[in-house]
Amino acid sequence: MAHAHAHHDHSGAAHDHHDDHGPAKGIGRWLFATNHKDIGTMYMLFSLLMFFIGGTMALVVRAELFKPGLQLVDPMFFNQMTTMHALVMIFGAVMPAFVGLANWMIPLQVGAPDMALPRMNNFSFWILPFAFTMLIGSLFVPGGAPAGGWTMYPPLSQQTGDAFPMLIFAVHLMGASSIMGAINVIVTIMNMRAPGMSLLKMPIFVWTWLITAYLLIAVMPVLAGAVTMLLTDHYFGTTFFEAAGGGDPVMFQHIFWFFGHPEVYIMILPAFGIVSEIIPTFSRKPLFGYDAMVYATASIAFLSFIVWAHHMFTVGMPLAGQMFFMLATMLIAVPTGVKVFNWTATMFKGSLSFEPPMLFAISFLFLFTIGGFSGLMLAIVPADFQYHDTYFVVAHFHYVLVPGAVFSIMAAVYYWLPKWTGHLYNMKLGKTHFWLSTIFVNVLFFPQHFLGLAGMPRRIPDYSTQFADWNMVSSIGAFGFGLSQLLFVYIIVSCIRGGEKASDKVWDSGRPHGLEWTLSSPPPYHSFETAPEVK
Amino acid sequence: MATEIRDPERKRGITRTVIWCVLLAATFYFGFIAMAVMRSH
Repeated sequence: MAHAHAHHDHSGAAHDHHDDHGPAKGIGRWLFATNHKDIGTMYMLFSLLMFFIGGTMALVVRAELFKPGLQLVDPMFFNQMTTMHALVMIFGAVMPAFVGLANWMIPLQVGAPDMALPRMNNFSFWILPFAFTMLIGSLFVPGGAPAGGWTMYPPLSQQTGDAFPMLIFAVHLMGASSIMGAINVIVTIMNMRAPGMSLLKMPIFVWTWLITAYLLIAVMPVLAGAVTMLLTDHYFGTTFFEAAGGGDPVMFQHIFWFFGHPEVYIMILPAFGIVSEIIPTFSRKPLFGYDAMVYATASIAFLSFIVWAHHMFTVGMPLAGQMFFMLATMLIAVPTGVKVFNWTATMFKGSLSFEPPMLFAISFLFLFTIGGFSGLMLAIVPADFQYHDTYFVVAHFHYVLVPGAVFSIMAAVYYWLPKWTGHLYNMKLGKTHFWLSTIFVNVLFFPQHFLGLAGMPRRIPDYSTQFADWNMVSSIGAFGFGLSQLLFVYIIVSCIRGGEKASDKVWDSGRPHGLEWTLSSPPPYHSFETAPEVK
Repeated sequence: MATEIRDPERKRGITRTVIWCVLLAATFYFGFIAMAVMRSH
């Protein structure tokens, strides 16, 4: 991995100097932002807002499921909440958070002055508020918001009311934003690295984002293609997915999951990168098996393209198809196991300390692994026939996405926030937030395994009384988890407003590594205007 | 103000990478639609 040197190589400078070294004043700074730090901040704040909007939708769902019977919302609205919760959380909260982190950290970690395409960077961010205003605004049109699930399976999704074109347009906009963001990441990493930083010297977060960006470029257009065909089926008389016209609704599922499965890795590979940055710092050891981590990430990305049909075993497929998709899916456990082993080996005999980023990283390690194991259970065809569309699946993907992806984002914020703001946050409150989140996330999602194994279907507003107890526990966990996040906001806001001054290395007692720690805290508005030298 | 890149070699590299990325995205978009068209009866 790269060793940072304070010496700057002026001969390698490829960027001109500016007279205006500070941010613009007023709202213009944000509307016309081209600075990667400003755009990163906007992505992160947008993501936080969406996290709370999507979280509120989840709480509507959990409040309705607190006890059997219909008490708070009508079933149609319940379905709108499940669908919108997923769309908002995936495309509005998790993905923009990672893009925000990429914007902030990739130029700092590769020693670049900014992203390679700063104006396009502005455009990719500002598309998002419009996309989500339209998507969330669909709650107020006749027929309500999309309610057929985030997977938009036809023919059900074709029954959406006036919200249908709004959904399709919003998905296109999100896709365009993601593709532009991904192009920016690839172009920056491939062309803007500091002299001496070969690919295998790049920080692991940069590596995981490079691979994620390629995944995005490959699969977001597939989603766009799928929803374009939904649109033409709806308005222009085509029958891609309509059996009556010679089309095939199952083909939509194949196309959707060809996007959908890599999408899962889009939401977890940057998380792997974050955890791989944090664990070595607080273990005071270099990352164990750096090269193996890179190859494992690439292997996971490759495998993600050949496992899509495990999401749809129950539609029926030839035995050979079932065998192939089952075994290919299980194969993913090998590179993922390499990663879990390497993180554990990094901590082994390390001088560990447990600051909030490390706590979240360790929690990630345990709880993501639980999500991985339930994924292996779901990969087994005959078992999947039993678990399919039950709460077991809901438990599985929430373990991967909440204590997996979301915890890694929180870990990243706790790790780099002092670098971004120049202030240390209240460690005690950070640890309290960690314990509340970890306890409640398990109270929330672990009982859903039991519910699923007992046969409770997903996406229903009412259920048989036999499922009452664990649903009540799960709902209590949901409200506890949701309320705990207010503490997270308080910690961030107080850190932005002031606090103890952070040193350049921030984690002086740890072993922070990489170019970002050679800069001041907060870093200058324009950093690395002359490229640093990496040995 | 955006950081302008003046080094022509780096500029060429950036243009090349962008073109390849856009081509990759377009291939997947049109490729999948074309596949669906061919599969329709």
